[in-house]
Amino acid sequence: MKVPPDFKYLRTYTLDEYYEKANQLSLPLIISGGTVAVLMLKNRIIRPEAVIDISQIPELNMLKIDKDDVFIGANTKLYKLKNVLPNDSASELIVKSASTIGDIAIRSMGSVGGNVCLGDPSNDLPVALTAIDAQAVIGKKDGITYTPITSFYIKPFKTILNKGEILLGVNYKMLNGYRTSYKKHFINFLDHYVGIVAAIAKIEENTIKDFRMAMAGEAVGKPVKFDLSEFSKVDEIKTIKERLFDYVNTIHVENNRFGTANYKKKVLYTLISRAIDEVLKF
Amino acid sequence: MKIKLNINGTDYESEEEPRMLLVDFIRDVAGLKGTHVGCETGSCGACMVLLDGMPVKSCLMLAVQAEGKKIITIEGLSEKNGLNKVQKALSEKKALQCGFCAAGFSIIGTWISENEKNIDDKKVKEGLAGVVCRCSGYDTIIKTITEVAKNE
Repeated sequence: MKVPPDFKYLRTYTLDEYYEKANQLSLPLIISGGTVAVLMLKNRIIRPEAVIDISQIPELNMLKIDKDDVFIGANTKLYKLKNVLPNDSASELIVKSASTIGDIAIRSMGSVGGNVCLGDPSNDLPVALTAIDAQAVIGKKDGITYTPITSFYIKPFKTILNKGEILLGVNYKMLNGYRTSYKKHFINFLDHYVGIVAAIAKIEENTIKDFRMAMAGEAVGKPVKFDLSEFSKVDEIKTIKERLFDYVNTIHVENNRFGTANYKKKVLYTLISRAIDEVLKF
Repeated sequence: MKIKLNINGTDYESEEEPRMLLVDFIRDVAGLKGTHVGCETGSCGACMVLLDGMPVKSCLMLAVQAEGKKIITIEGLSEKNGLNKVQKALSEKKALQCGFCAAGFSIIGTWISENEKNIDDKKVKEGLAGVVCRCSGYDTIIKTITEVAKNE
């Protein structure tokens, strides 16, 4: 029987209450759904002095749509996304990504904030959010800051969030008329994903109007956004793939228990190739 | 701290440590042993319950997180005149073998039959993905739950 270590449990109902408590404690664990956090507690990977439950803070449960701006509150449950997000292509990519997380019993507990903040390379939403150039909306006692999701991660399991700060949610612009693709490859169910690739592209008369792509996973570490601005023709697919394969060859991939570096790179080539075919080929 | 939970329509209140897991509260405080402790990592689904109508894994949740919500365990699925449709079908078709996974499949099967539309094998398989049967009787379980869900 796995029992978490002893801790103080603090439930917060307002942001002010959160800031006050979070600033008083040295290293609190913040939970909303708690799926991964409780597992880490049970395995004694973390031994926080206190657990702060943020699930009752109303500002974190909001979904706001203002013209083409979408804000998803950090407490939004993953299973809800497919029913509440608008019908645009950026939201479609987020829904595709979220629907691959665990199973329905995990998605009904897990929150957007948890998936974004953990910083685990296997997390899904960070890749989709990186591909669509989303922003992390960070709250602190003296105000709110907006940070591109690409700058949110420092390294695996480490984000830019400082003591007393909180992820209020994520913010992105709606994209219409795009094709989307979300691919990933895992070794053990609910364990580690070798590679994850998210792509979104707008094609008009064989011309690439906009093409964005990101990858993550155990092989990569923190999410990486590709610069694809130089490509404008769909018949350049072969060149695009070669360029991205070259890039994969330049990144440091480790040999470890999840596979050899060579194997992981081949997984990435395959995922990239399939995602490109799905969004650019007719 | 005092933890007060509503399980199968009954209120239970007990002085417990905040680190107590929901599954332990259900089994040891409420005495409802139908919810099982399996892998303890959220993979096997033997501890599955409904929380405000949604399936959750009670080994991955602190009891205190469930305060103010309605919890339904496998015992709470049963209707006045016996088992519910999913439980009855799983029993009649002999879909479950050792029965350790019964709570998981009954809970998720009931949720699928009441919530999923345009049911087919694929949707049922996706829904059941979070429950493990080590007797490997998946085929009959999937067929049984698909049949019940289609008739809802």
